[in-house]
Amino acid sequence: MKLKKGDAVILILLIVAALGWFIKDFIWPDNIDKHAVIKVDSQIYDTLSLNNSNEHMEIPVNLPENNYVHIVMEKDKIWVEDASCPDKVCVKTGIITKSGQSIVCLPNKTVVYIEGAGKTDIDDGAF
Amino acid sequence: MYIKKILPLKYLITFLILISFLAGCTSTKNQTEIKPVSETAFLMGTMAKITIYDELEDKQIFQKVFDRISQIEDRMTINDDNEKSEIMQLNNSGGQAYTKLSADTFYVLEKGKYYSELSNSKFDITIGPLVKLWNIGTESARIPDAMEIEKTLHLINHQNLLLDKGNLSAKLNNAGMIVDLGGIAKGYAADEAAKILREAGIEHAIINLGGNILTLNTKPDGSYYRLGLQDPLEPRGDYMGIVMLNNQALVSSGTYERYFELDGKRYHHILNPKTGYPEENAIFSISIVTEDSVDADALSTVIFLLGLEEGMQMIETLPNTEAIFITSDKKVYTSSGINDSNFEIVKDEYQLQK
Repeated sequence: MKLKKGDAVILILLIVAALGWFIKDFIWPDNIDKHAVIKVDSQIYDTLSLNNSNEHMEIPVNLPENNYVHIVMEKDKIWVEDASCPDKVCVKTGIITKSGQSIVCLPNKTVVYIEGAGKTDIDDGAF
Repeated sequence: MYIKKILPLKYLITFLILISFLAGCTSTKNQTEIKPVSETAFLMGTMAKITIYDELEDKQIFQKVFDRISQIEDRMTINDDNEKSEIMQLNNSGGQAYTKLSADTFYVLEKGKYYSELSNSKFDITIGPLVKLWNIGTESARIPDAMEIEKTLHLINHQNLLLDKGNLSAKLNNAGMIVDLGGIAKGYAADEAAKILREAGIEHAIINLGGNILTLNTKPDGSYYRLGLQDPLEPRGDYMGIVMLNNQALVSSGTYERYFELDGKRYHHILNPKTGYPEENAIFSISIVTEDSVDADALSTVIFLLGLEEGMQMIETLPNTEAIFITSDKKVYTSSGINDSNFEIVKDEYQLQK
């Protein structure tokens, strides 16, 4: 079978389109903004990109009356290392890595959660 | 000759038209998908999160909802010295006089008494003295000695909570009695939050009060809300299943929520009013689906205390009420209205029992 000129044109266009689709993901990846948000008393305290940080980063959140929440971030993960709260629920929660997960320190009114990065399967969580 | 030249051009045009169809599809999809807006506040000793799916002209609605929840908290709390708390007034007037109450507080007390009776006193709304004794979830949590527990148990009896509906007032028969609405008030607050949203014309929303979920209708596209069901063995936010809701409440209760550990033994916060100790049965967590959040909230504790067998029997007698039990051997038991269309397990280690 001989490849006609028209067939070749379609073939090339298809290849270009397919390649373009993949290249698009490299140039504008959907999940560039997978980030951790730290909120204190419902106000945003800091927003940190989780993908870009290759090193160990410590975020000490200092609160009134000598209270504190000591947050640590590494690539794709974040956790509370220590906090001034009595129950330490936030520390016990451990490391969070996925979009939608959160760490809550109720006594210090501090929340850390991960946002963005692909689809989540759920709209909210019951616990 | 002429036709041969024009042919590739034809292909090209067709191809471009096809591509434009594709592009057209994606862009319209993005336009109709309204991104839900959520706001959080710290209320009722937990995190309250309201997510609204409707188009919002003014964000005042969030504050209105939070103000209402805060009002309910003020009326019903027993945690701090809150002078506005009607429940503290009631508790402090034990053995003396009737306390005048708001319609909010009276309604929640009625619910508490109703479920205490329904459970044949396995759940008791006057469990307050025992909760204070253990203090689980606070820094002063400890194991009380048997004598202390014995003394406290005498104070627990919901029949000594007298309600006077005509005068919207209530009285505790004995001094030292304490009503604890901790297992119901959040559920009621969620129902009231939903009322405010509906009055403001909002049709699609999720109210999340510290993990207690109440949904308004479906999502705007008609699909059900998908709620993660907490894996009782993993950190918060890690879910073992998904529950689909439409205009329903979902409340979970379990041994993982609040507890303290001593000598390798875990003491969780769901106390048995008969023994005075944390309820020991095979249930890790129980989740209730109802229409009103106040019922789901109360039942999550009631059914936990009744246990798997008796609890399941009770669920089947209640209209529009479903339950999902997770036991310590990672088995999942569901009531008759839970099926493939409203529940799926996403972790293989959990086994659905038929």
